[in-house]
Amino acid sequence: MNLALLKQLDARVTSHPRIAITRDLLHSSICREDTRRIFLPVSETLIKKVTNVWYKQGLVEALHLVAEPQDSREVPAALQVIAAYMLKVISGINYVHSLFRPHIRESGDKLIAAVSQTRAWPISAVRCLAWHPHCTKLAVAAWDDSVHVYSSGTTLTPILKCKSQRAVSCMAWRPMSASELAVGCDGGVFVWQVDPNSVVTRPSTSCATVLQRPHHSPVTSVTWSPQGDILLTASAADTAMYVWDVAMEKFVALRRVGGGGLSLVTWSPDGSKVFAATTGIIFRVWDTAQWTPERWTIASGHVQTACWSPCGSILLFATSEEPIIYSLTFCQRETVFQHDDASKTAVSVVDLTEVEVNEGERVGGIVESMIWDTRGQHLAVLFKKTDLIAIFSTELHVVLQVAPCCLVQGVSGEIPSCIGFQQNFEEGACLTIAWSSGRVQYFPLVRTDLKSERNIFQDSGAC
Amino acid sequence: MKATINMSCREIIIRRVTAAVCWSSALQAVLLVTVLFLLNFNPLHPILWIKQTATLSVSLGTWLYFCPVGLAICMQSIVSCKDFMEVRRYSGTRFAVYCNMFSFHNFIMVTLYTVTGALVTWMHLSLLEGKYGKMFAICSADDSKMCLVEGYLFLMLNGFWIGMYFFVNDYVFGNKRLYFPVVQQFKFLQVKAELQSLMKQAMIDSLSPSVYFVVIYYWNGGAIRGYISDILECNVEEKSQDTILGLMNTSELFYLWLFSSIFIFTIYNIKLMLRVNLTEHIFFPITSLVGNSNCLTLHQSLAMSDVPIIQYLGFLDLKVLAEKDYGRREQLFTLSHPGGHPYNWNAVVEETLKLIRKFTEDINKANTETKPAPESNEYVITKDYSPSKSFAIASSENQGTFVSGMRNMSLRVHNMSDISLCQSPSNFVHFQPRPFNVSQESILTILRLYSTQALDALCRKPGISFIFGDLPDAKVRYHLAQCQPVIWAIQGLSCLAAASFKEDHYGVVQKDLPAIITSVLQLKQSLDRLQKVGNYKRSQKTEHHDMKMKAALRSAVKQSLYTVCVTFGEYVKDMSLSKEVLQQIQHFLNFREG
Repeated sequence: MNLALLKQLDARVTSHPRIAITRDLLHSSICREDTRRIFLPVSETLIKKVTNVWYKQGLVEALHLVAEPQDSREVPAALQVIAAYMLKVISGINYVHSLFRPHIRESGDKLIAAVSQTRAWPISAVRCLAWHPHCTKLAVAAWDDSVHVYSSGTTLTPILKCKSQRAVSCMAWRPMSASELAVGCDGGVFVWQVDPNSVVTRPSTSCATVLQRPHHSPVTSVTWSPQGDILLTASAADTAMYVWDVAMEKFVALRRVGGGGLSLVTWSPDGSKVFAATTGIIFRVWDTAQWTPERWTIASGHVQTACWSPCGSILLFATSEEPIIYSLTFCQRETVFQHDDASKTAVSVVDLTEVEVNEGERVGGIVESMIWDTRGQHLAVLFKKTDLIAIFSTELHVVLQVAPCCLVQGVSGEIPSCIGFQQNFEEGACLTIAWSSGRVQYFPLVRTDLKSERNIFQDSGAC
Repeated sequence: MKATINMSCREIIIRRVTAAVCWSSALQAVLLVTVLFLLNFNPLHPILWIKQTATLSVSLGTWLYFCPVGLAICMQSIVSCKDFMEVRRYSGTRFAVYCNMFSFHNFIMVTLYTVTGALVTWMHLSLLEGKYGKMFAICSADDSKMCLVEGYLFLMLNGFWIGMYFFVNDYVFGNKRLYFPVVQQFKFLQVKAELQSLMKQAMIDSLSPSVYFVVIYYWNGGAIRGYISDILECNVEEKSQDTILGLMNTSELFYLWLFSSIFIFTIYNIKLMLRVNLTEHIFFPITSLVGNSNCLTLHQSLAMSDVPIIQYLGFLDLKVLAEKDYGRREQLFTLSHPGGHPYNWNAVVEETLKLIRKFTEDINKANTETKPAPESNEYVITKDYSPSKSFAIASSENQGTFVSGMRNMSLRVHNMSDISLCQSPSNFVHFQPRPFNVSQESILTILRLYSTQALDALCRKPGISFIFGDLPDAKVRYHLAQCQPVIWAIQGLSCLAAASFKEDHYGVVQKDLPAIITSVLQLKQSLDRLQKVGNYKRSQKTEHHDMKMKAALRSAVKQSLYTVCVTFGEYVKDMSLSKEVLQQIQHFLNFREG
């Protein structure tokens, strides 16, 4: 490889912010619990204790406290019985409720972990990361639900955090804007305004617009339209996806029968389609002109991850059951030569069956997350069980061609948590990997051969 | 893409209102059948129950009863769609707001509401038959006489009451804006999605007027009953209903609430259908087709500032075209066949820029108008006089102004631009050179000054200033409330500019790019000056809406500037832009603009 180019490339990445989410950066609610343990235990009256628990943890926990007290002399027997009965009634109601809404098998954090694109989401130091579409700016959500915004050229890292921003599961920067970040979490969606000229490191909650709807939580996926005017949010516990006009806080709910909650939504880069995966075997591809869905089914499981080609004509997806990447081709303009049946089935493109590479290192298996860079030259795959990241080089000719490129391994003991491509990397593609240790690594990929030049040219021609 | 529709403005509106009327009548009919089905509930004879309802629903009599209600719905749709056909009048003072309430249009509306309320109740009462089915019944005391059925009167009066109440509550003080949906779906799906929540809303909204009516009837019921029976020359039952026990009649209260809910739902239904049908996206043709010169083209629709709904639809179409419609974009960027002029593009861009510039101008004007003119006058004059007077008087006068200045600042502390205007040196420069000499002119000036001061003092009296004083930011909010087409215009223009990067083969957009960027930047500047407007009184719904409108406009302006900058990148610098504009654009190129 050209040495000068390598140096230049190095320089491109060295100016990137160095990120390591270490344990001492995190301030979580667990820490708060710990501080409470430092103080001497105080004997509170029962009523005070119960109201305290009710206020902090909710009714069910309060009932549990009364039904199963640590000191049974404290609580009258009659109260215990009543509380136990009430708990039974509540669990019965929950059971009936789950019969009517069968798509919600789990709730809260478990549900997020099941559909999240982050490996080991509940314990991962980095919960998700998002690159800004136009400038070198990276948002990293840490395990304590604070969002750190790193940008090149400044050491200032604003931390976006507030009490109701709990269990962050997805983030997206608004296109055609410098500073707006949508954070999907348990309480809804926070659209933060991170003023690039401000020197405030902890923006207050007044900088955020909170978008909430009943039953629309936890939000597990957010995506902006490429023009940046509309935000789309989906929750794995809700069958509707919401289309938001953020400034007006107006919304339209899009709902169709079947499939259950929506785990993942992604807008195609050309803006004409939206991919929406449910927690069932159904997924839909919405046409954004009239907002009509095209319904697809997979054999089993649910769609775990999906990504669009830069021109929006090819969709790659992987399910939670098979180690295979499928592709779906959409024709942008109808032609006479278009074969109807060919475009109507998903084609398997890559078989990722688990194999052993050198010395017991294994790679492959079920896919956790999959991303495609903005030029359509590299495809990075993160697996559920194995610890190597596979990178494929792709070419978009008349048909999609995928060839293995390389594997990335962490420092010993590190497993990858989540991955992302830098959006404005001009020399090629810059893969960003967050490792379980909290380290964020940049992995630039550059191809200097003539072929890639041609590829770029053809890309812009074809798309 | 759907084919473009070749229709004239009138044709479009008539078609849409007709559709709205049909849809709401149909839904109302469905509602009627459902209500009949539910109210004829007979668990012991289910077959009889269903049979009865079925015969009722297909009988001619039922639909004859329905006719007047259908007619009322039709009238109401037509009259209330007029709200969207006209530019809303500006009312800067409370007095003007109140005056607007007593307009002829509102008079028609209140009549329609009341009549509809009564008709809905009458229709249901007549169809349900039962105890309250007729106005008169044989007296319980004397078999030979006919008596007024008080329950019937009670429910009918409620029909009138709810019409009137809801008119005031919903039409006068409510929001008459037409909300365009965020994304265009099929009309049926939109209606389906809204129905359930509207039904729930109607049930909740009907609670409080029902309670008010019961209270009013408790106080005045006897008098009204007597009055009515005098007019109709009929007898009344001896036992009156305006006692607490009489009003505790559950079935009557249930009907009261039910008919109120149905009426409110009818109104919501009309509004929903009007909204869904009127806001439906329309594809205007770029050029008028040969043989149909009557049809409304895109640029004509953009120019329709006197028919807001058409202008709104036009700008919405411009935005959709810019974002999604390749075919029509191509048509927009082509040159005319003989001559080779970009007529299509020119016509569209001219109208769009005109709207943006006019809005910027309006906002600027409204913003400077809010500056307190008399106070600055006072301030300057005292300054002018102080050197010639003795120090004590001057200082006291100064103090006076200072105090008044303090007070006024506290009043207008929200409006930073006002303060800067008062303190700007230009005011002094303008007045200070005037020499002070006691002449007829100066006496006149002083007199004039005193008269204005007296007027101001009068205006500052609590009651008068409340009614005749200018509402804070009224003008700015008036303009902001109507900025939806401006939002679409700038979004559409920027998207078109971005699309032109690849699609514009003749460079027709390029010549207008500097103008587009400059006007959007000017709008941004005037919005920045507005920074603080409307940041108070969050409680009121409409004002809250205006504030959101401002946020939406700001975000749209930034979004479109970024769209242009992201697409053209460093090429922007090669355009013939003025220095200041380039300087501002540089912030956007560096992504330093929040």
